[in-house]
Formats: sequence, C-alpha cells, structure tokens
Amino acid sequence: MASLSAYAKNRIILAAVILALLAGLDVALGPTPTITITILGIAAMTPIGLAAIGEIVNERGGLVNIGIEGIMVVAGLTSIMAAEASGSPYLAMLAAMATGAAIAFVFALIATYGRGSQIIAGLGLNLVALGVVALGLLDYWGTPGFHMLADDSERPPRIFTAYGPLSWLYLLTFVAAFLAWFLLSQTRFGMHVTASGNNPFVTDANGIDVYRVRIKACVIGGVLAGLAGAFLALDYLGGVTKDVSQGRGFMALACIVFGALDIPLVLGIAFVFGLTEAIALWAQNAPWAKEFVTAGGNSFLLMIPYLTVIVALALFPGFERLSRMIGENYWRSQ
Amino acid sequence: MGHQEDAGHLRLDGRNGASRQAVAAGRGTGRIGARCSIRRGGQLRRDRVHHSAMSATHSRGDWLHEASLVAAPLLLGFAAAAAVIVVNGGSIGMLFTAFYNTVTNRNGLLQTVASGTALALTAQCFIIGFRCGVFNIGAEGALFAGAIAAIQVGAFWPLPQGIHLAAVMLAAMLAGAAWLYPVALLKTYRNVNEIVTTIMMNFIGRYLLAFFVMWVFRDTKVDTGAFSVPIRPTGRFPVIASPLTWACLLAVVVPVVAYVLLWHTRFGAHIRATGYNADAARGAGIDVRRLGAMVFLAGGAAAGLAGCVLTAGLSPTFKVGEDLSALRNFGLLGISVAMIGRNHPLGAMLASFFVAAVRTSRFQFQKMGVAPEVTEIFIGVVIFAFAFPYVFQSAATWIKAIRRSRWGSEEHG
Repeated sequence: MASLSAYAKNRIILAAVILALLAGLDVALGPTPTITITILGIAAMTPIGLAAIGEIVNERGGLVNIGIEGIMVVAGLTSIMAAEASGSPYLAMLAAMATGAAIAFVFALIATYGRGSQIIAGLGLNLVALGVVALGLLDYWGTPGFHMLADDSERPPRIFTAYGPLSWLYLLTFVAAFLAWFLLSQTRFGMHVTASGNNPFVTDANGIDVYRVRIKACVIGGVLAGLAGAFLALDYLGGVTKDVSQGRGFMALACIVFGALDIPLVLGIAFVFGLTEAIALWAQNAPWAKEFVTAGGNSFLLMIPYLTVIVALALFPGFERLSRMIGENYWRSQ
Repeated sequence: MGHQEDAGHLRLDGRNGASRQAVAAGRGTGRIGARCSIRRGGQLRRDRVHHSAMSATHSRGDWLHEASLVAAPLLLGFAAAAAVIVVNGGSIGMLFTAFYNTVTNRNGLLQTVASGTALALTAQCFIIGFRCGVFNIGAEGALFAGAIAAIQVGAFWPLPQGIHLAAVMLAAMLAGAAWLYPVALLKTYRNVNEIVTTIMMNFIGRYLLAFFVMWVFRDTKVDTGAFSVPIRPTGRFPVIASPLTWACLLAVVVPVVAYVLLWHTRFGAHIRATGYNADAARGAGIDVRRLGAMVFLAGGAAAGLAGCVLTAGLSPTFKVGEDLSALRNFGLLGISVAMIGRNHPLGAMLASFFVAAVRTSRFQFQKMGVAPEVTEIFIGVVIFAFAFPYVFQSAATWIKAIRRSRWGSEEHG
C-alpha cells in the first residue's frame, strides 16, 4: 500500500465506500429497491457529474468558475425555450450547450484579459442568472415560478422499466468523462491546458498563449455545464423552475474539491451524492415515511445530499486538492 | 485598485502567494507585496506594496478614486436594469420613479431601514472574512441558525423583561458562530475550500429552519399555513413604527464595532495583515490558522445577529412562515453590500441602505407593472462588475489618452 499514490489510495477507498453503501442498501431494503435507487442515483448524478467534469477541464486550465450554478439554470431555461420552439429535445440540448459556452466565454474573457477576480465574477454570475431565469419565466410564459413542458415528445426519450425510467442520457457522464480524459491526457491541447494551470508563467514564456488556452478550457467547461442544465430541465424535472439546480453546481464544485481534479475520484463522489439524493427522494415516497414527511420531515430528507458533501469532505484524507495556482490570477505584464 | 483586490485567498498550508515552480524559477508570485511578473520590455507591473503602506494615510485623492471605483459598477447595474425595463416595454424613467417612490413613501422608507439593518450585519460577516483572505459566503446559513436560536429563546423561554431581549441576541450570536465553526474546522484541518462548505451549510441551514418552523416551532393555533410561534413580547425589539424597530441601532453599532476591531485593535491588525499576505503574517508570528478560524466565528456571530433581527425584529407579526420569505437572500445581498461598501464596515453601513432601498423597490416595480426581478439583475450585474475594475480603469485610461492625443497641447506635437 505504501507504494500507491495518494490518488490511487483515495480511489480504492472511494470504491470500497460505494460498494459498502450499495451492499448496505441491498441488506436494508432488498434487491429491487436497491436497483431502483441505483438507477435513480445515476440519473441524479448526471447533472452534478457533467458540470464537475466540465469544471475539471476548466480548473486544469487554471480558472475557477463558481458561476456554473448560474450557467446551469440559464441553460435549463434556454433548453426549455428551444424545446418548445423546435419540438426536438436534441436541438434543445444544443441550444443549452451554446448558452453555456457563451456565458463561460464572457467569464473567461473577464478572468484573463479583463484581469478580474474570478470568485467575485462567479458570484455575480450566479445572481444575474437567477434574475434572468425569473425574468425569463415571467416574460416568456407569464408564469412566475416554474414552467413545465406540456408535450412529452419534447423531452428526451426514455423507457419505463419496472425499476423506473431509463434513458440513454444517463450514460452521458461516463462518455463525457472518457472524452475529458482523452482530451486532457492524449492531446496536445490537453497538455497545454495542464501546463497553463500548473505554471502559467513558464507556459506563457514558452510561447503557448495562456489566455487563449484558458478561455478554450473555460468554454468547454461551460458547454458541459450547459448540458447538465439541459439534462436537469428536460429529463430530470421536465420543466424549469426559478431554482432548477438547487445548488447542484456547488455540489459539482465540492466534487472537484474532494477529488482534486482526478476524474475517477470526481465521478465516484458524484455518484455518492447522486445516490444520497436518490435515497432522499425515494424515502419521501416510501409508505413508512408518510407521517414524517407530511409533518415537515421532508426538509430533513432534502438536507441529506448537502450533509453528505460536508461529511465526505471532512472524512477523506486530505492531500493536495487543487492545482497550485487555482484561483490565483495570472495576469500578463505589459 | 481598492482594498477589495488586495485580500488574496487564504490558504493554511503555506502556499499563499508562492508556487514552488515559480519560486524555483526565481520569480516570486506573491499576490500582494513583491509581485514580480515576467518582465517583458523591462516593465515591472504595478506593484501593490505601496498601497498597503498608504492605507494608514487616506488622502482625499484616495476617496475620490475609491468612489469612482464604486461608481462604474453601479452605473453598469443601472444600465443593465434600464435595458431590462426597456426590453419589457417600460421606459427608463420608471427606474428612477420606482427608487424615488420607495424612499419618499413612508412605509417604503421604514421597510428600507428595517431591511438595511440585517443587510449591514450580513455584510459585516463577509467583510471580516474578506479582510482575512477568506471568502465567507455562509452568512445565510448562520442567519438561519441565529433565527432558530432566536425563536427558541424568544418564543419558548419566559424570561423577565430586561434580560429576555439580551438573551435572544446572545443566543443568536452564539448559534451563528457555532454554525460556522465546522466550516472553520474543515478549513483549518483539511484545507477545504470554504466557498463550497459555506454554500452547503447555507442549504442545510435553510432546510433546517424550514424543518423547525414546520414541526418543532409550529404554531398550532394557526391553521392557514405553517408559521412559527410568535416571539414573546418581552423578547421583541421595541417597535418604533412598524415595520421599523429599535433593531436598527444595530446597523450602526455593529459596523462601528467591526471598524474599531479591524483598525484599532491588535487582533484586527493581524486579520488585515493575514489578508494582505498570509505568508508574511505567518513569518511575523501570527497564528494564521487560529485567526482564519476566528473570523468565521466572528462573522457567524454577526450573521446570527442578523437572524435575530429578522425574527425578533420582524414587526408586526414576529413570526416566520414556512417559506422563510422574510429571511431569504440576505446572505448574497450582504455580499453585494460589502462590495459596494468597498469591503469597509462603515462603507457597508451606508451601502446597506442603498441595497435595502433597491430590494424594497420591488413593490414599486410590481405596482408599475415591471417584473420585480429587475432588482436582482441590478444587484447581480453590480457584483459582476465589481470583479473587473481593471477593465474600467483601462477604459478610463484609454479615454484619457485619446483625449490627450486629440486635444493635447501643441508642444507635445
């Protein structure tokens, strides 16, 4: 064990924790509910995981985009608008990805050429996004809180099994993870991204335009965050609400803080978060929890995913979680 | 370049301002202090060392400079809000009418001052952290925790007249501080990014308060929805004119206390030193870890007090509904207040009333038929614009250069 790197150790521990969780569910509830919860968990993991993988690419480049929560809500709004306008869920997802790319592009411009503070810009982005979504709901449809898709054909296709709805989109996270791994470790652009994140000074001096690389990495992150928002609105909820993401963007950030930009770790912890969310949802509908739920215990169950984040961050052994230059602004001198 | 940019992000593992490779390459990368960037053309970038020395001697030029740095984001916010209104079919004049009506209307003014109190307090929470290099966004969660404590002590504990209110305030402050303590621990011992933990705690706090309101604190005599038991009359802030209570005094007292703490005590000097350059502070013998934890406690106490103000000062009902509508958003708005106030406690005191007026103007906008969300967009754009002062500075320099080249004196040819 001593020869394993910290990453490998954490991966093994995380895998063991996941298996233990699933085994525990199996023992407590039986195989059928466990499979249902697992599938629901993968569905719940998709928005968090997609946003997290996008943010991995972004943070490898050296920028921290706290605004992915805002990107997700706005992309959710655009995807619903596009779904209604075009009738195709896939065009809607493309529209959402384009929205995410645009917002991330503005943010990246400010963080590089604009020499702005990334954290404050991200916070502002989140606020503006919430306002824009609320405004959009009011202006476009006249409904001030939420808007559900009326036509089921505008949603991505899913098959209804005995274990709950299944959709090809649930595999999106894993596809994105593979693509991100390939991009970051097997392409020259990926090398540039990692270099820009680790040491922009030397990278820039070597002729790689750090600003451009960071902007591209940020846009990729925005695209994935937009896709996460589209999935949330189109598939998971079937509509858009004022706070559609419910803090999932920040859970994605927590995944990255936990996983230190390592893709398997981030995927694993995203799955744990998704699983806890699935358990919370499932418990709300369980017959033995009816009294608890109607009397207000609902809120307690909703708390579980967020508590899990904190517990996970507290329990797992700490190591260099973020690249050294994370959040520190690199600004070229004149 | 205001104080806002000067506080770098505090890392408790010794990596503030110096990345190993850069140091090995012979270049310091400290954010503040000695910032040597790659020299291209032999030009050292603007060094910020002089600014920390200047902080003790504010000249009038500094005030003007700071004011102009605030003006640009506010103008951008106004422009964005005006754009939203115009796109929605209104006229720009509606913006000014709404704000004017808010402050001239008696009820609007009272509501503004009442909201401004809580905003000033949550702003202090962010400011104290920011001055130490910590991004404490947990004001909302600490506010909810303080509200829980305030309702528990205020509504359920019968205490004599004079002590009750003091006990409520104390309980709220302790609860708020205790709420952020786990965040402080995580940051100190695991170097976990406090942004993520505080935001998670915000959500947990919201659901926890909702749970308490709907179940533990539920007012069983009311059946038109879930409300908490009203605070007992002895535990309330004395009312001046509903919705204004004497809690508004806190909006003056707490910022002054924070100002004195930060600039006139040794503790405050340590905080600011850590904010400017944590490595230098550690080298000077300041216990950076303990300091980082204590600013969370202090900020949590301030935000908890805000929660107390929003429950024991929530005239005329003094009770909380299950949607927590009276307590929502004060955390993020507090951050906007802090920024508009240039991260200075007294500046935040003034800014809090401005932002409270913006918030209260929602009703006016609704009356005029404009979507009230325009206020959220205004605040959001203002915060966003505070992120990149450099853009405004270079724009101003560019304009000045053009003017000089067009209308400059002849001798420069």
